[in-house]
Amino acid sequence: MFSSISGWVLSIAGVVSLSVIVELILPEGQLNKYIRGIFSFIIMLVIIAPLPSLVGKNFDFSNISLSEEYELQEDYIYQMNVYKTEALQNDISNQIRQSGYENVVVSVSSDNYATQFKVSAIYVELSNLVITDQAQHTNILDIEKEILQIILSRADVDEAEVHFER
Amino acid sequence: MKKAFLIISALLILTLSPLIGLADFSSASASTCYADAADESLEDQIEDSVEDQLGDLDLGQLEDILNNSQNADDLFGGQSFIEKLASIINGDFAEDSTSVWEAILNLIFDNLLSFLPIIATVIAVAILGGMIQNLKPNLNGKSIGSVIHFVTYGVVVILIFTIVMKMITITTDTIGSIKAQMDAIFPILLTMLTAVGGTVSVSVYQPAMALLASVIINIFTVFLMPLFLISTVLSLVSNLSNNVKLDKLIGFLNSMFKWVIGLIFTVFIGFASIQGITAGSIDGLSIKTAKFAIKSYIPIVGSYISDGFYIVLASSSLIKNAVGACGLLLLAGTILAPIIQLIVFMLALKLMAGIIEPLGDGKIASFVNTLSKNMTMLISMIVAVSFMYVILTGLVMCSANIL
Repeated sequence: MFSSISGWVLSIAGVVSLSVIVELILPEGQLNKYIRGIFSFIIMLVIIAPLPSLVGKNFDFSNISLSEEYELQEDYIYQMNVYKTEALQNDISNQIRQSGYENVVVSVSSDNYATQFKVSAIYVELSNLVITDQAQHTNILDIEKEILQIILSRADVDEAEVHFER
Repeated sequence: MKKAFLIISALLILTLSPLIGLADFSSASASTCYADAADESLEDQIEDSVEDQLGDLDLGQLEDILNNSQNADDLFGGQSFIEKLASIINGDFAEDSTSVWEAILNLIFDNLLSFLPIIATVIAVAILGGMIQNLKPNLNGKSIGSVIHFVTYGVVVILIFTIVMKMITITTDTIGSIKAQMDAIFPILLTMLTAVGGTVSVSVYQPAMALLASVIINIFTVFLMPLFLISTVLSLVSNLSNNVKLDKLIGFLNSMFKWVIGLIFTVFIGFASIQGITAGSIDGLSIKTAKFAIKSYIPIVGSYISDGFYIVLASSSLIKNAVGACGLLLLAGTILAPIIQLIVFMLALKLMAGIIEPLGDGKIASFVNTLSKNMTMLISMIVAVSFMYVILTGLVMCSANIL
């Protein structure tokens, strides 16, 4: 496409330059007028020459496609997911400790290779549980319920995916 | 009556407002005193988190681009990309805007001085040609005059085209380097957007960025640049003689250029901004609903931003915005010199046309004038590409801010 356009421009430039040179060389006279007219006609023809070939041509724009796809920095997103998992784990542990239950081990598991952070499961280990004065419950089932509430308020996770180990 | 009442009440509010403000301030200061210790540790936490995350980010490509560009390096004040990022995050952003103005003024005068010899030569040649034509013995009449015009015109064209060629290379180089910057910075911005949780925004911006960096830049270099060249060549030919005039054809090409660039610009900006703003608000909503749900669940817990999870998110969004800001600074450093060069050249051509017109040849003056009009095409190409880039980066910076 580009070569045909440049050819068109060059032919216009060439014909115009030729007409100017001819005009310089020709002596003054009656004939001059006609020659000028002929050259103007030729220039017009050159200008409109590519137009007929445009008619009835099917332009195919489908090859203009998004050739580029940007790749995300997977390492960074992985690292962020690790940070988020750690932070979530710490948040939940702190909250449980503040509620009066010590030595509860919370481990959050998530798919760190996914682009979107999503908690898949949370494991709570209650085997070393120490109940302090701040605690509201002493029954293990009530404690589990309270811890479950804390976890659900902190993390976007399915209730069935929170597992307790006594 | 009503008006008077309104005015009086407005005055009352105005006089009372300092008092109210004072009360506000005192209560605020009391609360800040109370929360000072917590705030400090929070700031430290965010700083630590930002430092950790910056260490994980791969900015190698951007550093390379920065190192290869002298002007951008000046604008960054000799800092590396990551140092500038850190300083923007810490808040010391615009420390000296005077140095930027100084740099711009220096560029203008340097360019003006470098164009001065050519301006002087072209004017001298054109005036000499005009004088010879006026003073020539009226022996052989027309054809000698035409030959003189031909010669002066040729000399002027050769002189001016040495610079025009330079300007064309500058423009293509600049657009190429803008594309390189896009290729370097868009993946980082998308990564940051994903890390913050703007999934819908990513799905909108990814195609928009690919469209800008591949298709639109291709249209600029493959279609609009040749259009400029054609228009320039035709304006050269058109002023060769009095009989052949191609002004209308040139006008057609110029208006085609304007329409194509305007259409691309409007459609791209329109789609990107409408989709981006919608997607950004959807993302913001989903992030916020998560936050609100949590807050209403347990009333005992204090401020949520102090939670570790949100600190990670907050520092990610800080870095995202700083990367965007640094990218724009890099862009400014890249396009500042070429645009000033082009503008100074365009103005110099206009000045030439103005000086040549009364004394010398009308056709040379009109050629120089058309050329100066064509130079605006080059300027608008760079400006359009960088403006689309700026808007897209700004949209990414605005979307999915969770703070």
